[in-house]
Amino acid sequence: MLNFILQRLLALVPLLFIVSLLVFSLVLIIPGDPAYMLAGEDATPEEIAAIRTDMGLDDPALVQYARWTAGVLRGDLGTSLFSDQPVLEVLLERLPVTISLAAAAIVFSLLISIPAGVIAGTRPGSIADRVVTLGASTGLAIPNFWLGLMLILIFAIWNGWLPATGYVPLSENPAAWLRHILLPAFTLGLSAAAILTRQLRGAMIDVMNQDYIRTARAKGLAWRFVVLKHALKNAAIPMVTILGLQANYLLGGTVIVEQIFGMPGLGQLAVASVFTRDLPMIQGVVVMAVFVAVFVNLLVDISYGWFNPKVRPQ
Amino acid sequence: MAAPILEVEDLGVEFLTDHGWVRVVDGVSFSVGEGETLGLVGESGSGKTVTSLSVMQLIPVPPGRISGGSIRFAGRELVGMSEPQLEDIRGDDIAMVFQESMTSLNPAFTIGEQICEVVRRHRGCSRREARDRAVEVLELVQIPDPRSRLGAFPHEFSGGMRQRAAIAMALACDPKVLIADEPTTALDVTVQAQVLDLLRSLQERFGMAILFVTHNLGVVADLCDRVAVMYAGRIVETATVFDLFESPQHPYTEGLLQAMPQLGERGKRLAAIPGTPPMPWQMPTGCRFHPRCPYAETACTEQDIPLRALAGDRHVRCRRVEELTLEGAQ
Repeated sequence: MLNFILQRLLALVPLLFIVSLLVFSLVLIIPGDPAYMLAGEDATPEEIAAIRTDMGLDDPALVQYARWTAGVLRGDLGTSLFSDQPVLEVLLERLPVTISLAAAAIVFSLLISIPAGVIAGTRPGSIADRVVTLGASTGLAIPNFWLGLMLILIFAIWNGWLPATGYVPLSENPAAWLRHILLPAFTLGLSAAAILTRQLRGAMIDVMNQDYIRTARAKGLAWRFVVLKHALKNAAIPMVTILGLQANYLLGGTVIVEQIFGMPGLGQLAVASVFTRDLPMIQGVVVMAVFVAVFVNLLVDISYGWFNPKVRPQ
Repeated sequence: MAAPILEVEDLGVEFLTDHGWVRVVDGVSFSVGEGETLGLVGESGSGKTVTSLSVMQLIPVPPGRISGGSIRFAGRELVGMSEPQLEDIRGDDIAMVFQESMTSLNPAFTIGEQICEVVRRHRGCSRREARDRAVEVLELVQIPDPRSRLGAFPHEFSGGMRQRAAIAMALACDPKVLIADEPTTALDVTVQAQVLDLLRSLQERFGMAILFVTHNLGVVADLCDRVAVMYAGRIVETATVFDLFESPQHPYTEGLLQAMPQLGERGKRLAAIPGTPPMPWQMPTGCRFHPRCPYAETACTEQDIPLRALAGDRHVRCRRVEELTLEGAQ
């Protein structure tokens, strides 16, 4: 298993190289000159030129890339053009917000999709199945920005049950963290829950017709036990693939959800940095997002081995 | 025959299809004595697998249902028994081995886990004791180095080894009845012979009754004491293996015997039974075999033929049984 993980990590090197090229080329692609932005409205051309030289923007692209990459490898993502804080420091401050939002959304989507998918998939055609299928279609059709606003309206503004915006770290006050994370996690996780439910339902229908389910029943195991042990572990294999993809979508979704719920996470930082053309910060956010995505995929790959012994390295 | 341990009487099984409720098993009766091996023989679609699954009360409901009859294990009625009571019997008193060992073992769990689970279910013993029992039964079915094989997954076994493991799983709780549904059909011929030998020696050792479902008369001759021949959802003949091969009483049995390849008859065409078995929703009137029967008369098409008892504990469902002299196996 350790060997397998090492192999996976090694395979990441070329991927990260390509990503670094793409991230760096943002500097070249993004319209507008950060030096103008930094110098302000009234700056003279000389002042701007001085800033450009100062930031190394006059150097050839290759030199700039080498400098940036060397920095990244040392953990130095540069300094924010606006707050003058080190980018990495800002990122690490905001990462927990986004991670806890995405993780809560995934947990929520699993809490919905596993029971719903199992109930629907073991009784295809039943009323319960139709309700679940209809619910999943609805969940898929609802855009998260609309859902977020509706939830705020219903739960925060009309009834005042939950806070509309803000974030409290888990380590500070778990109860308050939960109250703040509920609505955004629901908003973010609903479509994932719908997709996972559909996936699990289909996989369950398929697995329940397999011979080994009949064998398990022939051993005298109770139906419920057969479903939750023998069927679910097999049906989970395709679901894990989808979950990995969904985890990456969820990270993208945090950009919108953090805006709606005023959460100081990476998504909000990304939006703010784009508006202020804070290039080092944008690059930093992208690098961080890539790392998280790669890490999630690694987890998915590893979990495959547990669910499906056939893919385990010999 | 020894005292019956499993008695099936007038069993009817129906499935809901596009043609409505269709009766795929109709009035099937047989019994298996303690320590006896009964072969249940028939073509695909004759209802033999549905019959064997009905004994375990494992036909999928819906679309299937047991529409009538009685199945008794050691005198206890299984039809209509509550699910928890049935679960106590399944895997403990009556165990089953299926045709495809590739698909009938769960690919996501180790062989050891799948054996231990049935032991723990019925013996309520500790994990450790269950593992010891698993090693014991794997040894019984001649899996080499069984303790280290507990952690293997089904895909790491060959076909023959998987079927041995499946047999080990079925034997783990010392069942009184073993139902084997074409357990050797998916195996190479040499491996088939090994598995059959294994079943025979295990039966001699533990004395369980076996209901052996197969389409292969050669296997029946090899392993069984008595045979019940099924055609189109009904039993058409029952007899001891010797009697059946020596002097079949039903034209369908004769056809099956003639269709068996014989050694030393190169070049001779195999005698196939003409036509195909009927679909369950369009059963012929009268004798269900009459459209394919070389001896059929008009009277055979007119009314249902009952299963008649003959001398020597034989039964046959043919109205011309007295007139016909049928050819046995060479």
